[in-house]
Amino acid sequence: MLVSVILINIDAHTNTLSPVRALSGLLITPLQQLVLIPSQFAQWVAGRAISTPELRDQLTQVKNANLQLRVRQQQISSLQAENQRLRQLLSASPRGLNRVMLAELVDVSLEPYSQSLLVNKGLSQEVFLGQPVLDAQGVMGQVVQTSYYRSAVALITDPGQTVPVMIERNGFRAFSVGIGQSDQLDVPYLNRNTDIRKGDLLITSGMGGRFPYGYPVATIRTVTVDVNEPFLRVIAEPIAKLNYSREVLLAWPGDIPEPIDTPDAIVVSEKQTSGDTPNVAGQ
Amino acid sequence: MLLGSSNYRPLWIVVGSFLIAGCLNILPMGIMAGYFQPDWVALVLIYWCFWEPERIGAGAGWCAGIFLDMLDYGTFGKHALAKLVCGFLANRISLRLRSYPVWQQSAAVGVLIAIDTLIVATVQLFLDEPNLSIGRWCTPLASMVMWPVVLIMLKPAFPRHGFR
Repeated sequence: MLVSVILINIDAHTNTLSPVRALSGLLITPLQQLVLIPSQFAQWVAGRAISTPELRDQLTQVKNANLQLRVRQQQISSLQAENQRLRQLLSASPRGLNRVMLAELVDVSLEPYSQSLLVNKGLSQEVFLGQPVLDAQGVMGQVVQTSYYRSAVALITDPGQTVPVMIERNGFRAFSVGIGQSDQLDVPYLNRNTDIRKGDLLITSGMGGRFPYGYPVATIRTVTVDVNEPFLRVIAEPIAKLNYSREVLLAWPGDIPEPIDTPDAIVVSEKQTSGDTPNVAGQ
Repeated sequence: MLLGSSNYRPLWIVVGSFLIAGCLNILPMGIMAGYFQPDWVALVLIYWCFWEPERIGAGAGWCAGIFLDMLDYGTFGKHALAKLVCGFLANRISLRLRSYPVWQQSAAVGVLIAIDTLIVATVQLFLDEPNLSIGRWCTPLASMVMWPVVLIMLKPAFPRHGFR
């Protein structure tokens, strides 16, 4: 009994057990594979059952989407060049691009009623603790445990998961906190005079250095003013399809090398960005 | 005594049953069906505690708990602590419970698994991962319903003399 209490404490407060975890994850991988057989079989059957016209339909849709994305990609590269030039004029540090890798969900249930997922990439693919996980729409969560071929991802809706965000419209910084419901996020500690409305888009602010800057996180669903409370009650809705995505993207922030800036240039840029947000509680 | 060591089931059956129970525990269910997913590992542990109390008890419970901790990627030792208490209690009441009718046994099983759930929930509360949704309290109920199934599945196919 004492042993398990000690174990819980060690594991909860330090990182010393991560090699043990990696090993245990490796040991149970065959069991997980065994459990996957029924769902893989169901997928195989579903894949067989699809008809040719349906496939043709899907192909057309994918082609159209691809075309649109490519057109936008052309714009983005020119905008990126422009942005870099402007940032150089401001002597601000350039923003890194991210390398991403596709990972598939492993369809096993982890801790019941916790908002977490298992993906099929692990230490052997250089996945690291705290790595941001995205999907095609927005931020999904971060890696909280790794083993050799698997990693566990805590979604942004998991209780205790906090994402530093900012309002896209005016750059006001805040953070979103999971409350254990798959379609809701809490945005706490906003003063009553904060400029925030229903429908505002929250994007990652890049503060704290864990989530890269500029990915959509949530849209504001309701803003309630309660005169008895010092702060606004704000509920947001995650943009990423947390319950439906079968593929997720693991991101390596700023992995593509950038020209190195002088240290004081970075300090200037920090001052500039923090100037417009006087009343946000600490991270 | 009649229930000597020769009457134990082979160890691979015990270990195998825990492995299969672990697989069933992580079997993906829909959100709604997930509410009614029993704690198979706890059920199997209680079964062995009831029928082989000389061999299976708190220690085996701790091992099963560590196995479950590995399976669901939570904090290590959480289920180990809960299953240890669960195994200990099941072991203590085994002699009495063995002679009870099945429905009374399942009531006891429900209580044991509720204690297990309570311990896990308490540990999570201390670790700042509060997770007190109503749904998790369906687990003891689902496990109660599944107790007869476990009894039938794990019963020896060819009972030897003196074995119940």
